Amino acid sequence: MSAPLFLVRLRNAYRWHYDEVKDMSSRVAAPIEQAFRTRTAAQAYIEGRYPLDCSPFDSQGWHTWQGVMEFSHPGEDHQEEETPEEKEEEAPYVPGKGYEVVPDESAIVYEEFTERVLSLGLPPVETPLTDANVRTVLPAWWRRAQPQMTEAQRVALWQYLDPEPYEIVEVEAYQ
Amino acid sequence: MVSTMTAEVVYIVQEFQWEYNDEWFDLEGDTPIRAFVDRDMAEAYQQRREAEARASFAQSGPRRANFPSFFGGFPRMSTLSEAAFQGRLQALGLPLPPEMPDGDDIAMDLSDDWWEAVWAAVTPDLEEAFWGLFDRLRFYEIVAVEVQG
Repeated sequence: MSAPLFLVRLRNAYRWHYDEVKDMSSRVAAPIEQAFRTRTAAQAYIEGRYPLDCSPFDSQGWHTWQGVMEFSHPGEDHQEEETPEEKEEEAPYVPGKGYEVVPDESAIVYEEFTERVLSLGLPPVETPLTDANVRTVLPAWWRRAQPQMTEAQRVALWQYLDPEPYEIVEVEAYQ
Repeated sequence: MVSTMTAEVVYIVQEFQWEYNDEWFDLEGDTPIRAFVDRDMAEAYQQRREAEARASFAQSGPRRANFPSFFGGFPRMSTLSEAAFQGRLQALGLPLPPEMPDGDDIAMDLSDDWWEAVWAAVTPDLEEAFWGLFDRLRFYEIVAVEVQG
């Protein structure tokens, strides 16, 4: 007899150990954070971890999110603390593209993003959104729009992380 | 009143992904494949899958090739010290690696000739123990996780 089980875990790409050491001796011992009986409960758990007061579109938000993940995995190896200069040099999050130093020039994801913003009932983003202006437009838009944002809207924006740091993996549980 | 309720624990069997990086195989990730309420069931399943994976890996070519060269050197495959490794080989009645010049050790390499010789001496009843020397070279693991909600 079996029943589905929904596992919440950090995606492999977010486990620094793989990138730095690639050695089983230093891999994350238990990267599955929680298990739930329903996908809804698993999704709610992930959403509850977003730092909703922070912008997902600048490095401050990203570092806060990293902090959330570090807190959930105490005692593991972490990357060395970056200097403030290094943090400033980091590229902001680009919707649909991830944290790229040089964002892709494609404008399609930007169009999708601006449409999604409107569908969420949020103030419009300055358009056209381009590779040249995305690093200033989105953080500024967040500062302007966030005082009126509901929690659900903030969650929806955080879900633009691509890929989201957490994923839900469904397995069958046998007894 | 003291609560006696405890969270239910399940045992997840995860499969490792080893990927070739043009020099050796690296551990690139893991995928949960099945969960069990009973730890013994999880271990039985994990052991069966591990044996299948080893057999498949051995038949696909590298068995006769030099494992350490496929996995980036001995330390990436085993937590054993050189002395412990040699002691375990001796206990199994298997050939020892050739002595290394002063300053070198088996951490760097294990020769193809020795590898050929040792595999020729590994009878089916010794295979499990031989694989056990390479405790970092695994295809499956079990992770215990609490179930919420």
